[in-house]
Amino acid sequence: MTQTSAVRLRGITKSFGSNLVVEPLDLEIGRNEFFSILGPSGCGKTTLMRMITGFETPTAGSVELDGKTVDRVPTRQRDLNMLFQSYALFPHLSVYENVAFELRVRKTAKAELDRRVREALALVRLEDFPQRKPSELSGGQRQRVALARAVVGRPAVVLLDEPLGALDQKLRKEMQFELKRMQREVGITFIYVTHDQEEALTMSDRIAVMSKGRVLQVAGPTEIYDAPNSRFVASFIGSCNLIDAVMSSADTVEVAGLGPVPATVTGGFATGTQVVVAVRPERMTLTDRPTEGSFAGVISERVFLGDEWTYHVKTGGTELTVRVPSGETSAALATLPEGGQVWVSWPTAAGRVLPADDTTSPSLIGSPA
Amino acid sequence: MSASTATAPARGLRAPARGTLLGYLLLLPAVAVIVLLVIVPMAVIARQSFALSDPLLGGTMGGFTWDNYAKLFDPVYAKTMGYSLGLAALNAAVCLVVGYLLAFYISTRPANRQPVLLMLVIIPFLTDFLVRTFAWITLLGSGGPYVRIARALGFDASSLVPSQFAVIMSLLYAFLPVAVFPIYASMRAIDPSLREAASDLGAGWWQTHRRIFIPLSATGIGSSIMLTFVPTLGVFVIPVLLGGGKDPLVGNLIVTLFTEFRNEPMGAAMSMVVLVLMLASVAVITGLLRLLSIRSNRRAA
Repeated sequence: MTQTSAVRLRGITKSFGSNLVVEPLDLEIGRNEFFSILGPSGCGKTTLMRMITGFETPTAGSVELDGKTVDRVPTRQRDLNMLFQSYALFPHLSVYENVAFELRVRKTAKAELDRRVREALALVRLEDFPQRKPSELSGGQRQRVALARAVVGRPAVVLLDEPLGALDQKLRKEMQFELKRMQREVGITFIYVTHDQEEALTMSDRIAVMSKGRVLQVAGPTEIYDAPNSRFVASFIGSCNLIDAVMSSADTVEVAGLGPVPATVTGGFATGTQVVVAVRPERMTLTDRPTEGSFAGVISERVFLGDEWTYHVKTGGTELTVRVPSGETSAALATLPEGGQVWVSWPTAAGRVLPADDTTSPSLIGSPA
Repeated sequence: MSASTATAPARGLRAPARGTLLGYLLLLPAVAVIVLLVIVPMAVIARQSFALSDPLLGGTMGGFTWDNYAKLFDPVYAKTMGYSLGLAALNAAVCLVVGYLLAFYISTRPANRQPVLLMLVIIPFLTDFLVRTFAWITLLGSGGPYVRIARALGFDASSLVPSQFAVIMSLLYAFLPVAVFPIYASMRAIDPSLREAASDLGAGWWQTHRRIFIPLSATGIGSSIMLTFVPTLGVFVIPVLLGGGKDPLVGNLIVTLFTEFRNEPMGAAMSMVVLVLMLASVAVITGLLRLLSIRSNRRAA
């Protein structure tokens, strides 16, 4: 990947005045990769993307595209295109002319231009009404036009800034698969900026999780989900039980009120260190009688979500969330009222020991974008 | 403007019948002002333009003749007319270019700084027209800053008053605000991300303006041309003070016809011709704009 990385950031930093928006970071994005930058609003992901496009000048560090430093290359000469959150379609131009814009600016021959515009429109399945104005299109169609416009010039990289944000739930799901299909078809590196963890997990080859200007973890979707490296990543992606604990020896963790709990210790934590044990709710098992290594608790609340039941169980001093697929709820469990006695357990592999304190503590609310 | 005229009848329809009379009563002052100060004087001028002039005392003698209009075809008058149209077109063009650039600059500044910049454009507009014109005499005349600075830099400069350059500068200064505002208003409505999108898609400065900003601010550009071209046709102080009065404009001619020649019917005829020219230019500009938008729609199709 070192030779062929499409985008490479070295020590890139951005601050606005005294406000450090993106802390120095190195990042490499491979060719034809679907790479997501995931984080809450205000985490610096949009600024990071705008530094790659050239709309923002980094305070320090450099951007390389296809092995060449582009710090002094203006946006219009960078071999990348952006899909704007607002789509930024030209309102006075038809669908056809919007898509043709880049080719017209670059003075592409007429026949070639027409062929490529039609190709791009076919890719996004919008061949039917090239004459319409953007105002005559639905949100989903506008977004397809914007995408066709971004890929028609065959850039090496396309950056997408929360492109599905304005669409309704059903269309979003459809577009997620569409985007992935198109990315595979055109063979272009996609850098996808989003705050929606589900979008990132569904489409990405790799995900960079950002919080407060720092990239906390870069990994594939399954690794991000199964092996988060920090409290923030564990809680931001999916839901997660974060149980406060203390290292009682080099490889055992103890929770106040529960005693030692099953967990895999990876980082070298000194005995006595405050840690958290992260366990996904669906990895926990709920039974109506004690099993080996289970913790007794009381159902404080249960919610039916169609495909699953969510139980809130009070054990020791800790409230745990447990998910049970609807089909797997035993009859005995289903009849238990709130306040009923249950037992919770999880395999050792499901518990991950993480530092109690991210140097960047999660903040999902606040800081403006 | 079109929005307010469009909503007025709608509101009238919704209002209950007993409100209609009150509505007309409220309209009365505005109607009175327009009738007394616009329509009546215009009718008087129109009537006078066909009257016979009193060769001894000046003034009009009544009667009806086309002579006043026929005499305007005299080369002397035709030349003045041509010069006025040319100067108006030149001023409209200069104001358009400077106004467009200024409007673009202001509209792309941070939102909190835009009002300040707009104020700077308006302030000269709040000063009296004559004062502003005299200011240019001081600036460009002998002993003024232009001559002194140029001489200090070693150039052999002399007073620029009277000159065509001084006329154009002064006209630009006088009409710039009305050129800036309509364009600024259309530009403010343009989504700022379009500019980034254009540069992202490879468009440079000129391409971005030619393909995006000029078409999207076409209405503002049209108004700006009209608001500078039409009033320039009626200007008469600036050419006298800064141009030396050697090349009279239609405005000067009308003043001369009324005051020196005491030929009111001919002055009135000239005024009517200017009025028709103004209306014609408004029609031509609107027509061009409509044609342009139809063409761009067709090309898109």
